[in-house]
Amino acid sequence: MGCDEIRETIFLGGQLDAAGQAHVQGCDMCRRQAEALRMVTAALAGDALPGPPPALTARVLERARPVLALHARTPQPVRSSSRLPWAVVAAVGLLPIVVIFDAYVLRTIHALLSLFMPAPLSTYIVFNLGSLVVLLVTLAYGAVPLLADRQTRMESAG
Amino acid sequence: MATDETLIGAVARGDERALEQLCRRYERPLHRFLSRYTGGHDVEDLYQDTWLRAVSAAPRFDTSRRFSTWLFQIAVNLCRDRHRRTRPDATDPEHMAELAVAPDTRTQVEAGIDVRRLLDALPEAQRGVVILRYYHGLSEADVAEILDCPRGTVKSRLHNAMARLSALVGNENEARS
Repeated sequence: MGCDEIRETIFLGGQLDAAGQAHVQGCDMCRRQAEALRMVTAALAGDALPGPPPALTARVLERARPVLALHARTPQPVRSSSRLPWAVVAAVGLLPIVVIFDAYVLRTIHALLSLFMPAPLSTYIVFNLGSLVVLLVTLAYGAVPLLADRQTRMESAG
Repeated sequence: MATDETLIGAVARGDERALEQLCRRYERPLHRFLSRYTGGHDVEDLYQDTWLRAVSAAPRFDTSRRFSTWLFQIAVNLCRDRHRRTRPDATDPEHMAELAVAPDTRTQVEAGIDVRRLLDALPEAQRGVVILRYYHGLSEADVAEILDCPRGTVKSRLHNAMARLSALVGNENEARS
């Protein structure tokens, strides 16, 4: 175990195995870092803060009362839905258009290239372009669930 | 005992007692989080604003999520807004120099280590990770969700933060000895 691995382990809160501990004992730099880290974590653990003033929650309730009254007048169901189903439906709905459009573009490029270069070469170039388009579309569709989830969380957190 | 998620559902229907229960459960963790995250600036305002935003957004709460994660995410968003509006960058050289000579009037625990000064020396992104991991004991996944970043980023921020804090403490030790 080298110095970098030792640091990686201790800075992320991991435990050193016997070999790692032996290294720390024998390496001046790692020993000093481990000692400094021990002091930091002990200081963090011992840092007690007072709780909030007792009146603070009462002030929150006071200020929240008009909003609660509004909720009570216009009750809304708590949502458990995410935007994922809608995002997938929209993305899949667009897929035929994307495929047809890309096929048309590739076909046009192939026809143009065939005018001034041998057919096998233009086929080769268009095949590569087509592969690139497939890759890009796959990446874009792969990002749909991630973007939908992020959007849901952002809206939910106000 | 009602779960947090049940209570926030009741808050969405205007139930004040449910809100009071939630406030009692989270008043200490939330207040302490805000105190550490902001270095003690505008804590009471941020505390109240966090709850008010939570109450306003309660009807939009996604019940598949954990309430605690959602509440801290709101708090972090508000702290970031405030930070953008008011605070100088904690990592700029002038601010660091100011921290280095700050009078020792704050909490000192381990062998003269001023914990707040240490936390202040971290960029906001790293400070959030340290607070949520060390003080609130949250998992990497929860921290990533609250801070809206990938888990790998949480790891690298924690690593960099602890390296930085250790270096600061190490340098102070050497200066003393």
